[in-house]
Amino acid sequence: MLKKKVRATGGIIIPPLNGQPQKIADAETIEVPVPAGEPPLWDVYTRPQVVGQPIPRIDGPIKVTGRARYTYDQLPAGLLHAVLVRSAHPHARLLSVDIAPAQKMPGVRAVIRLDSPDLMRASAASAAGNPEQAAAIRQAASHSQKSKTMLFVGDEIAAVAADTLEQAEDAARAIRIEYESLPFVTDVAAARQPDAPRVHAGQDNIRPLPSPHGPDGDRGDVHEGLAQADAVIETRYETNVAMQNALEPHGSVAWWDAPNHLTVWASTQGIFGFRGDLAHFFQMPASQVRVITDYLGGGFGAKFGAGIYGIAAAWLARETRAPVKLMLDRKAENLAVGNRPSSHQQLRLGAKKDGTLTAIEVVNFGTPGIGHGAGAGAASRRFYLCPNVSQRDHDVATNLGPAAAFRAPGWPQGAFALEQAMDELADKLQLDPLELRQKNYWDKPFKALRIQYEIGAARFGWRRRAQIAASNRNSGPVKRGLGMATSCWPTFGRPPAQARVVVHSDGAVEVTVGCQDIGGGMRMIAAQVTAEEFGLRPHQVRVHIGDTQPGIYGPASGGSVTTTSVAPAIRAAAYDARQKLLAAIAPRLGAAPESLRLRGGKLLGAPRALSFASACRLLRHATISAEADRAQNYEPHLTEMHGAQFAEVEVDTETGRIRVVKITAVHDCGRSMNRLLVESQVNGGIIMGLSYALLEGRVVDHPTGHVMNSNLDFYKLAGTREIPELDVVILDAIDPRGNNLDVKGIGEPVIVPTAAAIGNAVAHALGGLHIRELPMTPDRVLNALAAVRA
Amino acid sequence: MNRFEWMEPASLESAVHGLGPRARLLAGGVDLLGEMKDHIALPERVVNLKSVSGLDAIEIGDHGLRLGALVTLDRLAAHPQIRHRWRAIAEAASSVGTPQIRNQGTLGGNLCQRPRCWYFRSEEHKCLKKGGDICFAVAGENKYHAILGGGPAFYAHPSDLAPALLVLNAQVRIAGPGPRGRGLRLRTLPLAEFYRTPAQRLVGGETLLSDQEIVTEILVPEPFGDSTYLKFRERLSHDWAMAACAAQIQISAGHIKRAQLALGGVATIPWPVPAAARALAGQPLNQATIEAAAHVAVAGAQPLRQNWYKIQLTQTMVRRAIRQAAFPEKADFVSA
Ligand SMILES: Cc1cc2nc3c(=O)[nH]c(=O)nc-3n(C[C@H](O)[C@H](O)[C@H](O)COP(=O)(O)OP(=O)(O)OC[C@H]3O[C@@H](n4cnc5c(N)ncnc54)[C@H](O)[C@@H]3O)c2cc1C
Ligand code: SF4
Repeated sequence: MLKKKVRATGGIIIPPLNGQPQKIADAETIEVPVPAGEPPLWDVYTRPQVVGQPIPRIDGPIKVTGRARYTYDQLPAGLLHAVLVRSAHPHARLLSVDIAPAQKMPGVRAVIRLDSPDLMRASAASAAGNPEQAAAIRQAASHSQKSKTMLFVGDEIAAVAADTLEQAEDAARAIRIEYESLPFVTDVAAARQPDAPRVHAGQDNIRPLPSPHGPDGDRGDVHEGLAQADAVIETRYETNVAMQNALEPHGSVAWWDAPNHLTVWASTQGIFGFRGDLAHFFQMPASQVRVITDYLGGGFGAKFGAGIYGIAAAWLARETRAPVKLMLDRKAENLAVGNRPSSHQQLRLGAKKDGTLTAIEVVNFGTPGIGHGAGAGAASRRFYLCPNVSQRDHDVATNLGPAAAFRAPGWPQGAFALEQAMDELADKLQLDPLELRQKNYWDKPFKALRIQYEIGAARFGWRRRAQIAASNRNSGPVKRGLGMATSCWPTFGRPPAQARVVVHSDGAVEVTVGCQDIGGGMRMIAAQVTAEEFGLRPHQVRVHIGDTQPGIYGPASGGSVTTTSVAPAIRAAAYDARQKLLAAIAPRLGAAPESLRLRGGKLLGAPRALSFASACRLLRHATISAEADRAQNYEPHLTEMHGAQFAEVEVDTETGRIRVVKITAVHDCGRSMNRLLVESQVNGGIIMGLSYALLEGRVVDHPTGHVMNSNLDFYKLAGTREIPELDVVILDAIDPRGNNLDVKGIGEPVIVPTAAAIGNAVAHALGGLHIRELPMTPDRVLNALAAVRA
Repeated sequence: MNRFEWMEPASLESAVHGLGPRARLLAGGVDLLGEMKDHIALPERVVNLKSVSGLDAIEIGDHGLRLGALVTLDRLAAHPQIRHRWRAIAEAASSVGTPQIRNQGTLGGNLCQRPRCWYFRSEEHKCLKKGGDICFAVAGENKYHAILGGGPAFYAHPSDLAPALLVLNAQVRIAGPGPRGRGLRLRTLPLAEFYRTPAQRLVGGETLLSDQEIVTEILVPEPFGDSTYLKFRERLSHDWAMAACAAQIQISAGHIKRAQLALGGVATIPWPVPAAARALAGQPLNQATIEAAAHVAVAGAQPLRQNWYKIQLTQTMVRRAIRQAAFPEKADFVSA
């Protein structure tokens, strides 16, 4: 593709803080190779009128008043309700599955068996965000009639559709299943033993994961690095499995509106992936499947494909020739469709006396249950400039539900360990923890982290640390502590993504994108980016989102890619549509298109100013339509987003309660599209991270292999009284080498450092005692204190 | 949930006679519906106590406080006189669950609720409490379980109201079938005699109630001192007690004249600690006295593998509850 070199200035925009006006730091002008067809470049000096403004989201009122209709709310006429039947054993062969009693029950319309081994597991893998694994399973699919072996409590066996949900539940219980129990293992330490029962027949329970090599990967030689060090610390951290618990469970409402056409409402983060899985399973053209996700009640990485639930709904709909709704219950949510794997990390860090890191070594074992991918992310490889880095991750298979991608997969675990190890190292070297991080700063173009550290430390009052430590010595049982941690996340946004913008002769502007709004506010962003080009307000733009039918492609929402991938396509389409509009109406005004401008709802530059609608009326009956594809990133490298979080805690040493008093968070996501939406992501990430730090953890009864806290009573999510004061600052780190909006993502980097920052604050409060396991519950705090006393 | 017959008795007598081995009484339904949805209760008949009138009154008279079994927890929490004179009740009620649960849950239901042990609540685990032959908690996940009154089962009794009522010397009025199963018999007994440890009763319930008996009223005499209920929740927003202490204390001239203490969340029944109360009585109100009481409060504790921490936590609750009851006007100490 033709590219032209364009000069643009990047830099860090610091918002007005503490009465200081907005500032630009680290400005640097570079040449960027921009593909032909891209709209004019924005840079650090660009002041968009609508983009970036803190305008409340257009779908806010409809959501808070309950009018937004989620998948769960779809109730087409003649709807049947379906439930899944699941294994009650952690590892078993099915000797028989007798569905006859269920078929005879009142209201029952169809019963299907889901225990064929191949395509089902492929769909489960796809939904969990492992498309490669899904493809491999499909490749190897035997299509045999043999029953799949049950690998965990919650593994799917059959599905029932009936007139009411209650009838379906009753019928599901009437299915008679005979199991032959097989040896199982659910405890990670036990699963690592050589004589442990094998989770996957014929395969080792321990599976080393590949380590990338290179400047952002493993590098150098850690043994040499450790040998060069003046100080070495060796330490260990463990994190528990966390369950996703999106408010809206997984599921769909499916019906065949023609014998060869399937329409599905789905609670999914990837309508095209969902469509692909269904097309695969029913061996039909993808274009004959329509997937709609109008409003999504949350998704954190476990809602990518159709999953077994999605296939079962469509299958039952075909059997019954009726619409079928199949939404999981909370227990199934927590057993079968994805979680954040555990980690057991051994670390060695080496540094020179002045704090310069010489080596980082991480050895990690985590369990993804029967799934894949328990790595601890890449904090060790990306946070600090260190010449010698090695991280060896291992999956330890257990007879438990599969892991899935979960908001920054791996990184919160990795950060929890690495960032506390950094504090231990700082302690040993008698350095301030923040100084140690600054010492090992990895400078990169347009990277905001150095400024984030400074702003965060100043706002938070990091300097109080020494004085607080001193006053803890003669305080009562409640000790105070300050801690901080670093965040980083690579920018994965890229093509393919498309957008279409249509302008009607009545002045209506519509934008269509093929992604779904996972909650981050893509609807609003689409409206803002479009409105910017037309000089309108976002509420004047109609947004179509979450539907495969228009054939406008959008990516799955994972890896914080949605805005980064889709928004630049929107801008390109909107810019193009605007140019076309101006070209079409200019002759009718006797003006040159270049002299026309759209601003404040008006057309300017013509002999007389016109409202936008009157200008569009000049189109007579015609419409303007433009489509655009997301251009490749201008420079083909991964950039990053960064952040720093500072936590203040109180630890009651007589009860073990950790109370987070305040968190100051300074982040960037390239150019922020809407400050309110970004802040909302930061707030949500911190609260989720805090909940992970203090409360959440799957509890498994190892003798029976059951998860004991698969409901929201026993599985504790942070509530209102856990939420501390949140002080959020968003910088705009403008890097013109990426895309036409300089935009990056925010959903994931915000959860990466939270647990680590809290952990460090707790250790500060407790005079250097780190709570080495997540969640840091009162019993663990009391036990750790008792161990020190003993 | 299984299919069941729904009964709306017009009188206490017909409610009693509608009950039996295969029937269950429903008040607010907060707990019973949970049991039924989890398939651990499969009653053939559900008797709706709310159709019996007159069981939801709060009356304050010469002899103290009379609370109907159907009084909801939010009413107890909000009642100005209860908050003033029987503070432990209001504090206990307001510490329960969430506003929704307090709006719906009743006093009788709270006292008679079933254990929250996760094995008990799991259909797949047929434990001792459900007529099985193993207590899964012993070798399993027992962080939240009891350190007192255990064996052969070890669930922690979940009621917050019961410890508060215990230190206030509450009595329970119970209606049941009369002689030869006919008519109605009412009896009244101290709440302290109401509960049964697993060694005393394993299946069916945690009280002495037969399957045809109904709690109709709770009677609370005038308090002799100030009372409080201090509850430690793992999750502050809403949670069961990990350990809790109720206290009623009378102070005069710097000395403790009389005291009552009871623990919640750490024993298989709401757990009165008379030894701790004795350790306080007649003693000067000082650190040493409080320590002594905290020490004896957990005497005989038998922790399981994961709940040793409850000893210290309970002692902390005892110390702080005593201070909170002794200095109700002072809020300068840390609470739960
Ligand atoms: C999520 C959640 C959180 C909770 N948190 C707490 C907490 O923090 N602290 C706490 O103490 N409780 C807690 N509870 C329990 C709650 O307080 C009780 O479930 C509620 O008070 C029960 O009242 P109810 O009227 O709804 O009882 P129901 O569910 O109607 O009945 C409960 C049981 O008592 C029996 N029963 C009811 N009334 C009588 C009567 N008059 N005589 C004899 N038997 C009777 C029923 O047969 C049933 O077995 C929580 C419950 C839930 C679901
Ligand atoms: S503690 Fe009681 S309820 Fe829990 S498993 Fe043991 S016997 Fe069952």
